[in-house]
Amino acid sequence: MTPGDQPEHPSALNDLAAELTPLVDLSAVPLAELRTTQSPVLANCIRRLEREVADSEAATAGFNSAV
Amino acid sequence: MSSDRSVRGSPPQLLSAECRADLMGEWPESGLDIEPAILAHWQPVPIREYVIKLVSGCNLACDHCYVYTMADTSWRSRPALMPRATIARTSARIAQHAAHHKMPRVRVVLHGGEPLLAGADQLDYTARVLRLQLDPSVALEITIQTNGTLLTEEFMKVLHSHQIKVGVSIDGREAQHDRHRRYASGRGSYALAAAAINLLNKPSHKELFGGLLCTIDLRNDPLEVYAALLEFTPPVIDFLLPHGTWSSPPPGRDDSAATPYADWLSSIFDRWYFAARQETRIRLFEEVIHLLLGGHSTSDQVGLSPADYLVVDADGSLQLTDALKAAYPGAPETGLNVFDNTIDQALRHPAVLARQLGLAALADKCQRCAIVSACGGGHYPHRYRRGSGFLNPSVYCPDLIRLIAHISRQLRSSSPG
Repeated sequence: MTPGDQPEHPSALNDLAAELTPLVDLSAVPLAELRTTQSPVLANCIRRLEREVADSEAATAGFNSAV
Repeated sequence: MSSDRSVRGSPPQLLSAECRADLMGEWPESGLDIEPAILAHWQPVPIREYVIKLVSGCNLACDHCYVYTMADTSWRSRPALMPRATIARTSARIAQHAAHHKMPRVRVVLHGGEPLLAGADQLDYTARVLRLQLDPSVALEITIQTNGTLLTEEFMKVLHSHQIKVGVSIDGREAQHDRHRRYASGRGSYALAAAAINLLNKPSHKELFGGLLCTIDLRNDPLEVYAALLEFTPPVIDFLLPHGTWSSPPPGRDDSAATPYADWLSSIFDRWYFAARQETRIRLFEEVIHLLLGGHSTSDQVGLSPADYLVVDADGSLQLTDALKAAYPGAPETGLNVFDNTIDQALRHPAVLARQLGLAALADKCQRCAIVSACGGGHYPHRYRRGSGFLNPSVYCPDLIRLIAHISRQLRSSSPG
């Protein structure tokens, strides 16, 4: 792959990105406990994750629209 | 690259050989040299979603529209309305592709310009011919993205008959919305957009209310915008970053470490995420959370999932995302069209490859970044820089890092265990 003229991140943000672990590791938490989260948003996201795991069709990125 | 692209108003196939060679000098048209080992085990993802531009024009003259106000002016040379023969041919190509790849479902987004300018009969024809061409076993999901100003009960009958869900573009309260979304006369469009959303909120139509699309303007207070949108009780909101590139940066985005868009969005995230009950869905935030939890994105704004959609313009040309019009004239063009080419042929276009190869098609800096699985290099058009093409981090890179870090922190603080 031919490298482009790649702009640099500002250094403070480089540091921030490097410190982040990309995944929120919930592997030690039992599924039953995850389902009891008090956050309705997180509960919905966990249900979506369960559906994705159960779905054999690979996820793809669709058009950027509200619907 | 020395020549000025702003004077090139024609699609690439109409450009001189010299201009074409100039355009071909940028990545991915030039230099997409994926390692053979990757390609040997890789198959393109079939196209599952089609954005059909039924209309080239629009009844509004929004000053932030990527179709009419940015580098590309190809809409001037398209037919005002997609002819029925083109609709039929498009439907046949979609059906052919779905049958070849044994696809269980196909999604179609009716788009423009303003797609309601096509009229109710044309919407009805389009939906009918799509359904007729597809094998009955293939599920067809049709949606429409509109500015709302023309939505009437007559349209609603057609939309109901084909179960077409409706997304409406609205940017906040009246003053916020009308700053950009105006008629050519200068008159604002908020009142009619709001009326359309209220129509969709009628009990008899509510099932077709797909959601709201809001383009961010940093001058607007984020919580005020969110509150205004919530008053319409939308099932989902999508916040769009204004389109821009390294060569033509979006408003408020410069080379500094400032993160105005992340700060704007983070305010809304906190209000949304910590609400006692979920007030609505916010697509961008849900996608980032899902990615941080280890899932795969279904949006082309973030994540590394392969893009599975193409645009069919009113003249039948097969194109990449419209938002590429922010980069340079002709950027969305593939040189292919529904009359002469199959959808499978488009799958080998360099820019389609670039949107399907995930990590392998990102800039070195992105590949090394700790949050690349969540960010995915950002929205493809936002990576453009004149001279090097799209092999760059997003022009929104600092904002994406800051936003993903913020969401990650909030997620950790509220997760069980």
